[in-house]
Amino acid sequence: MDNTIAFTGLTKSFGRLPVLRQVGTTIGSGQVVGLFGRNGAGKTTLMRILYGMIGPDAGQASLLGLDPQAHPVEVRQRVGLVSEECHLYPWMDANALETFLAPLYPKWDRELFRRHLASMEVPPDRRVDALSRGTKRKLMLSLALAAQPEVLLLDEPLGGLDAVVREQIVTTLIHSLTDHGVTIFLSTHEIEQFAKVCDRVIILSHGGFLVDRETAALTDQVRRVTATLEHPVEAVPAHPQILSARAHGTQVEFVLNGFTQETADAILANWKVREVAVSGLTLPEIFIAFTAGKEEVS
Amino acid sequence: MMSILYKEYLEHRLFFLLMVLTGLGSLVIARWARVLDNGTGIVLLFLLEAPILTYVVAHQAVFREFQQGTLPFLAGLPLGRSRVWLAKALFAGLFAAALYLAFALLGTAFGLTLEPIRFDRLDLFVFRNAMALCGIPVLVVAVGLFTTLLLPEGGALLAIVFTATTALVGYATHALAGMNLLLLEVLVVVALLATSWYTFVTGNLFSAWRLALRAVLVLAACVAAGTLLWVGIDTLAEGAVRLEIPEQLRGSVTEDGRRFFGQVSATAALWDTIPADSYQRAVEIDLATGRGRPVARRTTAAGMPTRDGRGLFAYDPWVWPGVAARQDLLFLDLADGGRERRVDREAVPHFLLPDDTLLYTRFSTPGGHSLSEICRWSPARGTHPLTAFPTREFRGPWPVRLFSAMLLVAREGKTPSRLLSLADGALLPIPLPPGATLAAETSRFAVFGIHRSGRLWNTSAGTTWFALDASGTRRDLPGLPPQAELRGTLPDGRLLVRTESAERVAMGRPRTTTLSTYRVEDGASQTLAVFQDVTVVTHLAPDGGYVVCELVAENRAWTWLDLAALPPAGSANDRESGHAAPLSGSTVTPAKDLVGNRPAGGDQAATESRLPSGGQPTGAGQPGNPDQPATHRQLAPGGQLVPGGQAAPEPATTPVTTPPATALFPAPVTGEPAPALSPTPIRLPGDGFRTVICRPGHQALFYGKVGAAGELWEADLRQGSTRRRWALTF
Amino acid sequence: MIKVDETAPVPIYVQIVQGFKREILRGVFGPDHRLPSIRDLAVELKVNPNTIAKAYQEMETQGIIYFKRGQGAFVAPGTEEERMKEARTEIKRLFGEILAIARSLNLTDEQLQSLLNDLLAGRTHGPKARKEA
Repeated sequence: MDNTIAFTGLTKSFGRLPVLRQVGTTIGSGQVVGLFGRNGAGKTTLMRILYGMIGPDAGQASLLGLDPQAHPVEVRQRVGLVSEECHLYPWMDANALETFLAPLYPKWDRELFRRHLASMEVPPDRRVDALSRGTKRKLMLSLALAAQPEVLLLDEPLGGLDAVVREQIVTTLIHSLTDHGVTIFLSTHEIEQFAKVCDRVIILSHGGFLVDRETAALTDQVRRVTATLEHPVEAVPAHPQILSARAHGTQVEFVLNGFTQETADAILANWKVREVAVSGLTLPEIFIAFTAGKEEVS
Repeated sequence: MMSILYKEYLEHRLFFLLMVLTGLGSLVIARWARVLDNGTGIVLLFLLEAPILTYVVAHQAVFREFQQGTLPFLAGLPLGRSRVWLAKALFAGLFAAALYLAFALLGTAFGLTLEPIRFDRLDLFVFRNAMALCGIPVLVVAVGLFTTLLLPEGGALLAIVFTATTALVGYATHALAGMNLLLLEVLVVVALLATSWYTFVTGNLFSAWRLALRAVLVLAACVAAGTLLWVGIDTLAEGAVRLEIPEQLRGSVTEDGRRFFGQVSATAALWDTIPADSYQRAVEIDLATGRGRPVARRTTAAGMPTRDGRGLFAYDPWVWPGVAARQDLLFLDLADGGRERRVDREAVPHFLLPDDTLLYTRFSTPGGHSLSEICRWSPARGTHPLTAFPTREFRGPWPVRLFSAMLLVAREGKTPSRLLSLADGALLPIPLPPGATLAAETSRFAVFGIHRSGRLWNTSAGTTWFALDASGTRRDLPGLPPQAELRGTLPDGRLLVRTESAERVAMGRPRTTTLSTYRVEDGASQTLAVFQDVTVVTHLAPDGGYVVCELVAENRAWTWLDLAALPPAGSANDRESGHAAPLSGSTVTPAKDLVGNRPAGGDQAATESRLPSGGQPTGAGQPGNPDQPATHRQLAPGGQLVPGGQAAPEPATTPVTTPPATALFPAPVTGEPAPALSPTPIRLPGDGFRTVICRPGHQALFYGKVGAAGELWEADLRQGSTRRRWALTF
Repeated sequence: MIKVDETAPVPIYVQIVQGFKREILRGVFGPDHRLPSIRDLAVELKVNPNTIAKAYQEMETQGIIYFKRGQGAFVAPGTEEERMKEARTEIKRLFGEILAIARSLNLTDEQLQSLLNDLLAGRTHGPKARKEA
């Protein structure tokens, strides 16, 4: 795998608050990676560091082989960032924005921009401050895509949008994946929206990466074991692979990370078991299992 | 970058239009209210509206992005932050230029012309052309570009606190005293722009507080660097001053005649931190060798040395053009390497007492009126105030040795002059009429004159003379004519008198000038010499042995009269023994001004600081008459010293004609007294000699420019020989 | 048609494979039928094309499809018996899951049997029954 996006040991604190603690990973060309984390986990900070807007306290980041702080111009011409808040000039419309931005990007494609505006139903001559939130987001995405970036960084791309708009955005993203082969790194705290789109999932919690695995593998390897016991129990004994556990009378239930039959049996051996059932979890359930009970500080 | 400029233009074009309309509107209103003239128009447009509007635009540069929430967008563009800042700074500058141009056109349409404005006597530098058109907008844009980064209100407060602290420190330590305003503005503008650029490029644009804090800290660093730079330039400039060879020696000689202290013109060799390109620098010249060296800091002007030459009183004048001016009085301890002690602020020295105590006046303005306070100062005992009075009430003081007192003359005509004790400032019970000024002093008498003012060369002007003896008894001096001027005192108590005829020829030169002596005791007088068509300046030797006469016409000639060869006074009432009482010139005036210069008209400070030569107070000897300006000098044909107007170059004969009809002395009607002496010319090369230093024993020193060099020539008057002693080097 | 449920606890690519298998079993896709291109399917399903690619890869490994260079993916011809055997295995597995659920709901075997009979009887009513199954 090549190093389209690569970072190691990234650390950032704001004052005495550590937000990122030595996180690192590598993302190859054409991959779509979802960064999941609760509100305030540090997703936006990581995005800003990757885009070179702020500098890390420690560690290195490289996009397309370049340090975003050392080569901001080149990196930004090849990497697009769409943030959750709209920072566009409120008095400009799509046409004016194109006039403003096109000279800054060598690969700007006017046709492509118009096509995106049309397909996502963004009016080209209405002022930004007269647009709804969803339309603004679609406009920002169109602007980012018009520059034909090789990498897209999306910070909460679907946050606060209605279903129709979400659909439009996802469709556009899929198109850019199939037609242009962009590498996408997106962050969100709503996991189910992207189950179909991300082929890799990273869970950020308390400044670290709890999970960094292919989506399919995650779904495969995290299983819920439900057992009915002979006698009631108080609690499930701790085990490094148990993500969450519940005991209610004669029913026990625990979620295993990296499920194997042997591991499950080893845990069940603690009791006399009448019946056992193993089931899979949805991605949101997996997410909750990993992060529940650990408060993030925003 | 063009994208940004175009975007700024789009954002601001309406605003620009509004600003121009504001200017137009204000002009229209001013004209309708009939208050529009050049002054108000320029103030309105260029000193009020344009700077404010320019500041708003510069301040909006980053601040508006912050308010709109577009700062992250701007920072995230594929354009280095440095270029973003540059684009915004450039736009602010262009906007300012366009606005000023628009206003200039508007103003011209309304009939304004861009002249500097003066408001009564307030010539504040901001009202001058260059400042209003370039200095202010540049400064305003720089301030705007700096304050635009103080995004939270707290940040603005921080910056205000910092600026106020810096200003207070600068004021309290006089760090900016007399500083070159252009240099100051350049440093401030550079500091602000550098701070703004650096903070924008490296600061955290997501945290308003961090950004503001960084801006203030960087500015503090720039101010520190700027201060170091200023100190560096100041230090370098101190040593890089070029001293010019003067035409005259303006200053004082020590009592032993060995050293001269005075001023020469100096020009800065480097860019200087003080506003003037050239200034007067205090120097010391060794009269034996002609080696000169600067003393004191370059902005310090020389005053008078002490008797023993171990100390020098000096001024520290500093001027901020159009803002403030001040003059401090200093004492330099020359024996201790020129260590400075401040005597007082805003003070002017007058004369030294026998024990080297200085008598000076300090000025203050309590309640807006100038107050003069006469004080004594000595290195050991410091300041001791004697008396105080409103400055507009009195002139002076002058020393009156006879009474150990000082004389104050009222400016307003009806108030009597006063004598105040030098010991404690108490008023002496010796009444003086209004307008009485001290003209001369002998060992037994103080001679006063009351001048009736008239216009220059007006025949109605004249002086009434009287003398006081040590007990305060007054006697009139009828034998002393009203047109007389007292030019010195001889050791035997006679006064040297110069009388010019009322009739004038070219350039205000008197038709006839008569030099004579006059004895106070009995009114006896004796004519020494008479000169025609020439202005005569006399320089009396300290031992009374001779008088050097400087004859000024189209060119300049030096002659001398041998007083030692004088026949005794011919009056029958002569009660004097004929002995010359030894001139104890060191009672009141220890460091004699033996340099016989005529002070230039208007140089009041120099006049007041110069010590009176033995017994003759400067300024008081010619009550009311302005000093004659130096006349042109030309090389006499053939190098001969010819008094102007004279045809025959016969040096030895008396160049005399009959005195004018207005009798000078109550001489016997029978005949005119013939002048007793004939002036002997002194041979000096060229026409450039301006200064004479008279020495006892018929030796005189002359200083002047010969070509480009300043040379000192010594003359043995009796022998009639002159020879060159040295050329001045620094 | 192939449908994907992102909320299901089954990997997407597995769902796609299963979907295709079902369609092939039902005869919607016959042997040598050309599958939709990865791109078209990605757009239609709003699924990451990599995932589609992975599903196709898996199906090729399982022998369900084969690739023809430059032309795409095609359904592999296979014996009806193999298909039926696979279908039976699949149904058996599904029955197993139902059984587990029924047990957990404390349904008796008799109750389960009667439910099944009802359903079997409803089969004769056509499409409605199919929907319920």
